[in-house]
Amino acid sequence: MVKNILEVRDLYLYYKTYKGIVQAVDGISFNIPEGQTLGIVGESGCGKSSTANTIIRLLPKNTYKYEGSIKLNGEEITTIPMDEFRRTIRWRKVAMVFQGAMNSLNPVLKVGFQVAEPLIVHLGMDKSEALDRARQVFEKIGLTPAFLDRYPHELSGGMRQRIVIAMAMIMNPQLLILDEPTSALDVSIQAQIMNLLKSLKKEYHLSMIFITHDIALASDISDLLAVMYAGEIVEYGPIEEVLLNPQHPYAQKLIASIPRLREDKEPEFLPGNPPGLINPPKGCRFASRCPYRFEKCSEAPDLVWINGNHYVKCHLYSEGK
Amino acid sequence: MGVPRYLGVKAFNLMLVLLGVLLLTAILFGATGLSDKILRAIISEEVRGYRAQLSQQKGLTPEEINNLVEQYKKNLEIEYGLDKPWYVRLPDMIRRIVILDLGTSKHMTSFTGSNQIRDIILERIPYTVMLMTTAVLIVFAIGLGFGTWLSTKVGSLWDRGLSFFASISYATPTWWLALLLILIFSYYLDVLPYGGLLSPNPPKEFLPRLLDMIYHAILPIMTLVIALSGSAIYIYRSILVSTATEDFVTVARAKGLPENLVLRRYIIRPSLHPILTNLVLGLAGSLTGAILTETVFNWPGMGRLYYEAILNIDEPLILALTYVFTLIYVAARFILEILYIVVDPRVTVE
Amino acid sequence: MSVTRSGWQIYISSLVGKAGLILLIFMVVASIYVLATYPLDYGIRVWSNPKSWADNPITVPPTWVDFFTGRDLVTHHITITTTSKGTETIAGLKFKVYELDYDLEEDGFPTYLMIKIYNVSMYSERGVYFVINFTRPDGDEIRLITFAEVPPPNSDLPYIAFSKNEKIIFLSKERSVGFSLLTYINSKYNLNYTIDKLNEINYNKVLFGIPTEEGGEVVWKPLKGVYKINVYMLGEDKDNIAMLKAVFGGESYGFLGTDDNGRDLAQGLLFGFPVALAIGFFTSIVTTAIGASLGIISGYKGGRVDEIIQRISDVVYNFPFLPIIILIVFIISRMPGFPRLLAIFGAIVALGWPGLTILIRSMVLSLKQSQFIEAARAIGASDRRIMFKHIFPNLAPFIFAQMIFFTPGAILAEAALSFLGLGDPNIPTWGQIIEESFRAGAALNGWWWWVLPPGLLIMLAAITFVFIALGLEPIVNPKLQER
Ligand SMILES: Nc1ncnc2c1ncn2[C@@H]1O[C@H](COP(=O)(O)OP(=O)(O)OP(=O)(O)O)[C@@H](O)[C@H]1O
Ligand SMILES: [Mg+2]
Repeated sequence: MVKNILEVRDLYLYYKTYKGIVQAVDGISFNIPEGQTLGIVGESGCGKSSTANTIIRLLPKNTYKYEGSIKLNGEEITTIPMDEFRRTIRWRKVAMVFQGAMNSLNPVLKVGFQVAEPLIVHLGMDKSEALDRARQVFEKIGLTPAFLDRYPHELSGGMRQRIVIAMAMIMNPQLLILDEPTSALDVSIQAQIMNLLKSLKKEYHLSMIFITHDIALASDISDLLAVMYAGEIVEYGPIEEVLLNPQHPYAQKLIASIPRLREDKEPEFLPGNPPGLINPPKGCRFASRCPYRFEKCSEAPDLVWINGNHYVKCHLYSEGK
Repeated sequence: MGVPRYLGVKAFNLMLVLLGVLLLTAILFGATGLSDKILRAIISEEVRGYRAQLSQQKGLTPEEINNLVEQYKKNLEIEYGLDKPWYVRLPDMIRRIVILDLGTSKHMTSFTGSNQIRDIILERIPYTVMLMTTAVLIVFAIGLGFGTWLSTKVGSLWDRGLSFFASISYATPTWWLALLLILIFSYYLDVLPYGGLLSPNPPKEFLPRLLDMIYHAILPIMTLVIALSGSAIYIYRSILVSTATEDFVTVARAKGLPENLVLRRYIIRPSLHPILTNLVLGLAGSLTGAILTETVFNWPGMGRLYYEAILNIDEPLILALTYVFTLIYVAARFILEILYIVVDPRVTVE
Repeated sequence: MSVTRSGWQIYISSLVGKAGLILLIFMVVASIYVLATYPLDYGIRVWSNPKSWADNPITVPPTWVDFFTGRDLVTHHITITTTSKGTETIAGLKFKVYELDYDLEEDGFPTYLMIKIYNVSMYSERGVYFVINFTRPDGDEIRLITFAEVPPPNSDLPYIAFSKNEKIIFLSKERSVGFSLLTYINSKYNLNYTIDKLNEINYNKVLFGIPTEEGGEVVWKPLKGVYKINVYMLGEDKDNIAMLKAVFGGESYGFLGTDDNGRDLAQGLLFGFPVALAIGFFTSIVTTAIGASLGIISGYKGGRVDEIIQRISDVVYNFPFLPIIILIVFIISRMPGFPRLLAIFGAIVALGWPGLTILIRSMVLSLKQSQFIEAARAIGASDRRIMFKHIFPNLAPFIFAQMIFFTPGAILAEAALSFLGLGDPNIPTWGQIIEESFRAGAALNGWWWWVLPPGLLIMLAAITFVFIALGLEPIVNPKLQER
């Protein structure tokens, strides 16, 4: 069996606001085998970015609860002291492309330097050597080295996105987290970036988390798929299984809503809104919108394993039904 | 837009400001009839002198004297342009000021005795700069220091305390605070002089003299620092906080950069544009704002000079000082534009 | 973006908002009180009229300082009488007697003693003869001064003397009083004072005190009790004094003390409330109206109009504020008869509008893109209608907040200009009062009551509006403020 690059168990991240506690990540678990990509899909605000931030431990000041286990290559990383975490994990082992990459670059620094900077900080390289390495990565990613000397405002959105990816790749991370890397781009650029990511994945045998609200996009690159709903992963499994045989009613609805070229079925529409993450309902969080709702749904469901690597969080599949 | 063109546009706009001030001043003087009144006063002064001179000479009948004086007065009026309306004289007046031909003061002289306005002003500039620049730089250091510290504590008790303190400090008139401090430190505690540049019998040697001057500068500087620090801390804190919430700061942290590097390179560095704006305009503003502080402390700088010019209703001096103040302000603005180009690669792109 | 009920709730739930509102109510109440009780021409008629303050002590602190100093300061006292106590025959001559009482309760000396005589009617050309006696608590009666007053030759009888100007006798300074006192103390207390020695220790100490010996030195201690000033008038039976007034100078006065003209600072400072509010309100309303209209027109119309407005506002925006505003006020106020406060008002407005114009213009530019404006234009609404009915209501809360925010600036600017001597000396604004205290060297003399309160009031007025503006901030969405 392949070894897991990432194992996440019972992960929680709550925020404190003056309106109440936001349960943004509420006890999620998943694995990513080495060299594979996990797609995380879900509606806006369901906690996808929060999940990503938890892994690289970018916790906002108002973090209320941060619990659970994250094993990177078998090593527990949640207990590493902050300063050591910064020096040994961030960017060296886990890199990330952030949502809204348009603003991910410092406007007053040349992009070449920003790409090369982790080498200088983490490896103590001198600036010219680091820039040389940046140049090599630029070439890999299809950017001319002349761009090294440009400032962010001089570049188009697609260029900037490539540079952000180059920046994430510069340290050869074990895990690359991509938080909606293409959502701000137009479709043709989006395709280019996806192709770039796929080729990087193949070439470096890269493990990735690919976050998107576009399930079609996720299926393009992922090996595994996690469907998130209101702070929880409601279904997780190999991509083909989840796409072809979704179990959770929410996942079913979501997949049915993908417009398909060769079928004349109308995409389905899901009525209602997800519950707020402040004081969410006690039982199943999807219950209020679920067509198969029954009494038991007022209790919180447990994980139900469909087979070795596929689980669902729904009472429909639990023993006692 | 290239750098030269960018600077050109800015320079042009600033020239317009300068011209605007001059036009405003000239129109104010002209349209209110003040300009005519001034000239007439000067002429009648000269005419009186001439008449006195004539009456010394023998062999002139009063009739003849009157005629001569009348003629003399006519010539003078033509010479000063009083025969023409003020708006015809206006261009020449502006031209003279622009080339710093500032004329002579009616009442005031420089410390060396010259009544050339240029001499009077030049002599005062260093004192103003010494006082105000010191104060503004101290305020800047305090503002940026505490501002940076507080920007990491958004929403804390300290932070909320600051916004309260800043409101109070905004609402406190500096010149009144000056009186308050005089009351405390000069009257009750009797440890600092209440004003002036030097003690009544100032030491002659350079170093003791300088120390004496510094001793006299403590209270005014203290006033300015107390009065301006609250707002300064608040402003710098707000600037830094707004940069600190940018995405690229999060990215920098994710990259594993140490916190002090994040602060320096990703928060302060991108904030230099507004920080410099505040510093430079603060400097420029302080030089003009010196009018109030110097007045209270009887500090012989340009500000005090302006106050004295008003007390003495010395129009040429008022006009000249207004122009010099504007000139300083405009120059500061232009320096600021150049600094922008240095610190912010985005400015020349429109 | 509109101020709704919930907007009000947000506002009132903030601490600064509440504080601001309470302060504003306080200021408005004070202003209404002033408008209701002061004459409108208070400045000229009362404040700048030395006659209104002639009976007051000069530069004395408020009465409540006793509370802090622990010493009972002598309070200011005025005794008035309009009727005679009766007649008394002395050496065969019939005198009309007027009596003025004073009870010294504090452990100190009144700072001076002054007597004023008003409207003496004389029915004979021989005039009248006055004798002023002073009775002390120990029963001693001292003749302080005597003098005669005769009608001018050939005047109509009855002749009224001291009608235009009352007769003022500074008993604690008058030389002849000095000689009377000298004889009195030398004989009573066996002292051998000379007149020079007496002049050194001020008559008021002798009038209201007794000498004690301390370490071989004579020290004057105040003598508590009831003092009487008896004014004897010799003349025709019908001759009469309309009013007599004795002023016993206090060491403190009123709620906020007095200035060097004896003016009651509490009164003047109270008058400052409506003035400050009026200046703050009017300048900010007019400035905001001009700034906002130009901004809306400039942003909406675009083209040539926009270009011109933008240029001018940019130029004026970059004027160095203080020198230019001083210059404007100075020149305008030199035009004879031009009200100075109006000049200040005008100057603040003239320099104040561009900031808002620039801000509003950029907001209008982004509003212009929005669908509802496009829609309004599509159905053929006129420009004016769009600006008034569609753009303005959208910006109104923001403009309102800006107006509030401008107010403290206006109040502070007025104060600063008045402090520089550009204000109207006939209207006691707070800045004006500080200017006078500055010229009189109040801070150097420790006359804190003349320095502190006006400044605190300026701060109070400014902070009121700063607080209100801070309270409004969360309601008026700051998103639109982005450049
Ligand atoms: N620092 C924070 N404090 C309070 N609440 C927060 C914070 N960050 C995020 N949230 C809330 O937590 C929830 C999850 O946010 P998150 O950004 O993880 O969602 P997401 O799935 O990434 O959404 P999107 O697709 O819009 O990016 C949201 O309701 C969000 O409003
Ligand atoms: Mg997200």
